[in-house]
Amino acid sequence: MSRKDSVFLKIFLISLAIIVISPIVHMIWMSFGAEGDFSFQAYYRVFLTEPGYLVKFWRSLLLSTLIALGQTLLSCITAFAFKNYKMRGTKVILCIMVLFMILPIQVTLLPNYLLLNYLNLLNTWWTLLLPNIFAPFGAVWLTFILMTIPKEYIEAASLDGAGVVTVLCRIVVPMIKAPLVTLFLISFVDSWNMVEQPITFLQEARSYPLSVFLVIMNEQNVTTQSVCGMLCLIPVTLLFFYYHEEFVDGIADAFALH
Amino acid sequence: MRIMTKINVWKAGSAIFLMLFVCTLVSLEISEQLLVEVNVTQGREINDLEFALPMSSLQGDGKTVYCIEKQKGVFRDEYVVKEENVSVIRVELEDIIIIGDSFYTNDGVRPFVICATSYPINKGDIVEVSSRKIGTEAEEKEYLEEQIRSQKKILLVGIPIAVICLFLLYKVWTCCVKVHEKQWKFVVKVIGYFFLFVVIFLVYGSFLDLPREILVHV
Amino acid sequence: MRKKLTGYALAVPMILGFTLFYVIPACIMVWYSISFGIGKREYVGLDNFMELFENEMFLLALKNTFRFLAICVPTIIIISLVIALLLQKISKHSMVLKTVYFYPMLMPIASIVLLVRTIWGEHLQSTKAFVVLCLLYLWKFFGYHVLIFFARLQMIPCTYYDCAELNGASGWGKFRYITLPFIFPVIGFNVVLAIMNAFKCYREAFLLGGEYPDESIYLLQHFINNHFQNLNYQRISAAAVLMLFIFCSASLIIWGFYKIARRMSNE
Repeated sequence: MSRKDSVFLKIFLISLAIIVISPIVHMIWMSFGAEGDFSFQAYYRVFLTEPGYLVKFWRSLLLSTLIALGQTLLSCITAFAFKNYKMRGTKVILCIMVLFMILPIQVTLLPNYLLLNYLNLLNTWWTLLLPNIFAPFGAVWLTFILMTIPKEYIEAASLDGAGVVTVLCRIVVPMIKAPLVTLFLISFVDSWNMVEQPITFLQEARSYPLSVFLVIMNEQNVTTQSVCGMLCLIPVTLLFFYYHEEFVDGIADAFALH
Repeated sequence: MRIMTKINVWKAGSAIFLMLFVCTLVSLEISEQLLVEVNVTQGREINDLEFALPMSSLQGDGKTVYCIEKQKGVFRDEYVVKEENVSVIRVELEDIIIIGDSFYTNDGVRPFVICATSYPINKGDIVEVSSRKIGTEAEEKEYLEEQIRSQKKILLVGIPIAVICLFLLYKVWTCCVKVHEKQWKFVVKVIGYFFLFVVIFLVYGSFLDLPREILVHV
Repeated sequence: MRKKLTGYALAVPMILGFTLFYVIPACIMVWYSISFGIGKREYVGLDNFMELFENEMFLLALKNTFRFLAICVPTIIIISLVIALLLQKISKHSMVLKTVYFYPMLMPIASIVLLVRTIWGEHLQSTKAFVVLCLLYLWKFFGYHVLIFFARLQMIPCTYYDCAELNGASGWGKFRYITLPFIFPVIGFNVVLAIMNAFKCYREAFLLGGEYPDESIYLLQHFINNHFQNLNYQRISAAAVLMLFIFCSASLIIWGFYKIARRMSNE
């Protein structure tokens, strides 16, 4: 590969990166005043005068963290159970889970609405928490990852007298740390950006999380909307920068070892 | 990448979240201060069909008055301004007389009508009911200036805060002097001190009772 | 015996929750799709499906969805494969670039919609809306596939390539005989993921065009959503069951291909 080719390649890839980043740059530029006058007024209004935005931010953060944590823990336990213990029907259940994983949400949205109405859970946060914590994506992903761990580790540990909890915490979790972190990240991002479920299940506009609020906010005030968009970006960006190495490793583990 | 190490991201993230938390508290404070104060009254009943309201509650077009209505806010109940149509029968001295039965709320209770505000309001604003007697525009202006003057006593509290700020400035100065040693660490330190400045400034600012003009027309 | 019991005990919470929130709603939906009536429902058989196929909007939505999938999924796989191959040649800054390419997937949709409306506002009411949606889908999800392909490409040992060069293989030959067989299983995964993400693109279509967008981007989920408002349960359930059925058969076909490919590579 000659030097000239290499330089062209770099220029091409870097310009692609710039195109990819341009919406964010546009958003930052719009937040400083789109009509031409550079002012911090939108920032002042969103951050210091109306507490509604920031309160929604904290609530959405709590909701997303709970969902991500719940899904990760539950998937870990379930994948361990599926892989380690010979139970009948595991394959069938896994197949059904894979099928539901690929389906878009709209398919189960209506029956979920009826079911939650029947259980009297609509309009609370349990409607958002529960279907997302029991999502099948995590269990399927982690089951496939656990297939790559040799059985001998776990058998040796249980021969030495370790109980289930010890085996799980001390042996399995450190070995699949990268995919666990990836699952947490994906789950957090999915629940942070969810729009259809709150609109359908929650009926009061006051209790919408921040992502939905961004959508239904009227567009007269473009600067306020841009600042709220930036607020929306902050937790996801920070989390992603913190865990970006584990994330890449997690994806590499999942798809490279079959 | 050297910049994006875990520790730096952790520091940046903690700084940002601390700022957001402080901004939340400060914005709760400021939004409370931005509420317009109003006086309300339920009127005086003359007989079964008529009752009297003060002249000042009638709005410009002569047909509407503003009432307040309770609604659920972020943390507590709020009062929202609503418009109601009235029909004036006659005017007596300082009062206007209106027919009663077109003016009751659903529960049969007479609504609270706004008779004086410290600042012009519109339909849909959120207001604060106060028991202080609100006067004319000139009296309100003087009240505001009195408030600004009384704030100067709180400036005494600013002395220890000024000491802390001077200390931080000194730290930044020493950082600048040693700039040739570790470039990135220097920048991170200066940014950190800047954040501390802003946080202290915000916390201090929220203690003051700034008058409405400054807060709205920033 | 005790081992089995602990296994069951550990797996039960998830299975219960999954059944409650995913399997039971699916069963309710199947029942709704083969019955009719407000209040008391009675078995109607396949009438709902027949009515569905005569509905113009449904056929339009079906055609649009298939067109979107058929165009976008191969495009994104080819583009991300090419970019992953190009990225492999640069070893120094590839981590940064991969992070940057992945970032659009994390962005909240509302800001993107704002930008798209500003730049391409007038195209959104014409047939070019389809092109806009395709571009949006490509922009948002190509980083994900680049990451996956790149991870898999890293696993090919260099010695294979060196051997091939020594034996005088050309660039295209190297690609065909070394790279492609290695990547083949991962292409299957990527196709499945791309289809999953393509259905998630409904959100963008909804935000750009509203509930009744232009004809070229009226997707299946628009159909389901609109009938949700008038509580026309039959149609929604029938459409949803049809989607379920399509997915089932598609998964079976892909699984069949996968097995055949495995058997062929083992021989």
